[in-house]
Amino acid sequence: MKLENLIEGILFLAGEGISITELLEKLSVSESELEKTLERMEKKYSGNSGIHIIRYNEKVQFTSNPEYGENIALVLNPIRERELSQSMLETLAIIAYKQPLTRLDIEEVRGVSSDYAISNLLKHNLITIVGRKNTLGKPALFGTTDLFLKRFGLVSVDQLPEFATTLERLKQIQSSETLEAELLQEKEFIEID
Amino acid sequence: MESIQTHNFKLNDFEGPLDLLLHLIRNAKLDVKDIFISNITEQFLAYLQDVDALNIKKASEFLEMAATLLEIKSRTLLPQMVEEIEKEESIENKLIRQIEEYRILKEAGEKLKGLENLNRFYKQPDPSIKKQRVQFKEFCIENLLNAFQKLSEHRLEQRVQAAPRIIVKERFTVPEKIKLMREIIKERGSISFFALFSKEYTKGEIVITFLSLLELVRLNVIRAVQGAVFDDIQLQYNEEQLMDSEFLVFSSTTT
Repeated sequence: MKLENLIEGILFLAGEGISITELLEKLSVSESELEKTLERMEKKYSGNSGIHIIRYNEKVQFTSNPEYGENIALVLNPIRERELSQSMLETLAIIAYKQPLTRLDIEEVRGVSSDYAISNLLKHNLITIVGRKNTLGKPALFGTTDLFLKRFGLVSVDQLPEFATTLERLKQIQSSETLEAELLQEKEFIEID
Repeated sequence: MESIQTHNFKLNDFEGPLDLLLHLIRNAKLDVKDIFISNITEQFLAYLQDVDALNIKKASEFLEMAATLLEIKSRTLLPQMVEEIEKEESIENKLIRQIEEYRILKEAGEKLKGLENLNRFYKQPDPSIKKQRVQFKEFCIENLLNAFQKLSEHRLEQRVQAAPRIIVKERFTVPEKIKLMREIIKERGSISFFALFSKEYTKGEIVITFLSLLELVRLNVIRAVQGAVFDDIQLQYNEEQLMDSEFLVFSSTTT
């Protein structure tokens, strides 16, 4: 029995993503064997194939080929998502790169109230509450979901476009605040004109 | 007076004041830190003619930014009489940082949009697959009371440690709280018991909240479900409730 065929059957029935760890545990195969098999399958289910394989967040799943999406929809009429609006996209980007963060943090970056965008993103299951901040009121902390990864074709959050450089630039901006504070403290001793 | 060039966009085209500022800065081909040497403030104010006074929320966001810009600008125009010993960052730098951060993340959002994929579909799991299902057991009033007691004790401990303070009037009455909770739970479908109590509540307010909760449970407007002993309690809106006339009378007496 070939591992590849077995996994085909499993993925078909599972529908939703199945975690690599679960496959390793339940099938008692080595990590390298599984990995090689999955790589072969990724090649097989790609290109023109009607079925594709995607990997995200240490999971693997069958999906329909996006190129045929229009026609598939004609025949089967599955529920189609609408494009995200500008404000939702902005809010989502902020959460994706800066997660976890609170609603207040998000609003500080955007400069506007974000209740509507946040509740919509929650409704679409693109973000979720990942914890609570240990300050007054215990505000919720938001982070992205698996569905977010799937929708944007990412294997993991650090595959976000220019993830490392963006985080670095953000950090630089934050640290210039502390630099400014230091400079101001020096100013205290300057003579008043 | 310099003439402000007529703008082609409407205020509504922008996500907010930061978005507008960024647009003006880009147009003027300026560095973010140079905004106050230019007439960006004047341009921003020109856009504000558009502001729809009826949309108070949006108007206030833009007005707040306008006020900030004007304050910064006026400071640069006035002679420095006293060197202010500020422990905090200047407003100008704070704003510049805010604009830069917004710009970075706005660009990130645009890149993200390029990745958006709406044409992939997934299959639901085969229904014959058995999964571990989490069943919440119905529970008795005793567990609810225990949870309340635990909450109360916890708050009492905190109060004892706090310094003596002014006693304030409760911010809401039982009828008000009932109405509010009913709406919140109805909207959200379900909410955690502990989420109903803000850390800032006085003892009186905790009691009021709890009484309201009991009343709603009694009237069958909501259901309380708990997984295991001492676990969090989920309060669910009861869709099948009958219109209890007693409840209607009660709610109409709220002011």
